Amino acid sequence: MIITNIENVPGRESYENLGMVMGSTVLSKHVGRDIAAGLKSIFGGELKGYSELLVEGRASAIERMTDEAKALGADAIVNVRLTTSSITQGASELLAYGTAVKLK
Amino acid sequence: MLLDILSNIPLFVDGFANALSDIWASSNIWASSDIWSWNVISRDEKVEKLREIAGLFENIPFMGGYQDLLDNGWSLSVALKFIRDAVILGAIGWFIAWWLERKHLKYLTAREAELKHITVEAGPKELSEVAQSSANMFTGMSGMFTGSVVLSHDGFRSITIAIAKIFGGNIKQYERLLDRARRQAIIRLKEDAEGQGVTRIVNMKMLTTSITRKGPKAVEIVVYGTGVAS
Repeated sequence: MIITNIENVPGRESYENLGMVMGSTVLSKHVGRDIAAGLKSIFGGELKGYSELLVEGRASAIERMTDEAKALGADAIVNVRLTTSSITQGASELLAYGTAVKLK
Repeated sequence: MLLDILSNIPLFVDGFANALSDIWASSNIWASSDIWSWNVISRDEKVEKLREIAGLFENIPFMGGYQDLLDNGWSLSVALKFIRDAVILGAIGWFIAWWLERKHLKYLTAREAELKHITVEAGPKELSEVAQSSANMFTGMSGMFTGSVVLSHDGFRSITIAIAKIFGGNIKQYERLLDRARRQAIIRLKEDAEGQGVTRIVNMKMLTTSITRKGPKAVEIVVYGTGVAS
């Protein structure tokens, strides 16, 4: 599966549009991580627990989007956008969406 | 701020922080004889517990002497000592936070120089040109690369931020935090693309979210773009 966030797959000009696909996740870390993050933020710096959370969440959102595209028989997703929002303390939502296409 | 820090230390979660928050919650804060009337366990047990905790600080040069507070309640000298200790702790913490920030900035500068060979472009102007030119080889596992970071500012600067907010204008502390976070995220983006034969990352997009949590604010930055080799 090819994923790009530009309107095309470079070098492949024509494709058939299969519609929009998306995937989202809401993830949270266990309380221990929250306490560690609280301690860490005394001196500032990267909150590794939350960073990992973000990476995992993004990977699984993209995976869900890819699954949806595969079900449509697509071989690429173009114009992909990512959005994040913080729903509640220690949890964050990640949404990935794009256009599924079949390359010719 | 101090309460915030204390409540984060697991040692204090059980005894000190609970007791303190209960003290603050009670209406008769200053009437030392009434402080303990809320108790679930007896006053003596509470005092004993707090005395144990205060005893831990006895050997630290400037933090000892709070056992007096348990015996006689708040007095001017204890209050002055409390303020003095808070200022000393704040200054030490502020220095450590400043040093860590400086270290991070050095790391960013060094890493940016190392990853100079990958260019990042946000411009959509020549995007169709990039997309259609067969000279721009499409490489990488998926084509889209991402980088993200969650960065928090330090608790000691909460005070200077609060002061800056009174006067308005630039809040330099947040500007610096966001600048560092974005630079770090772009470095992660380049690291993601490194070793995949990518020389350009086009159509880079950036997301900023503030994390909702207690204490010092944290920002979450996600950057992503499509990697091509030209």
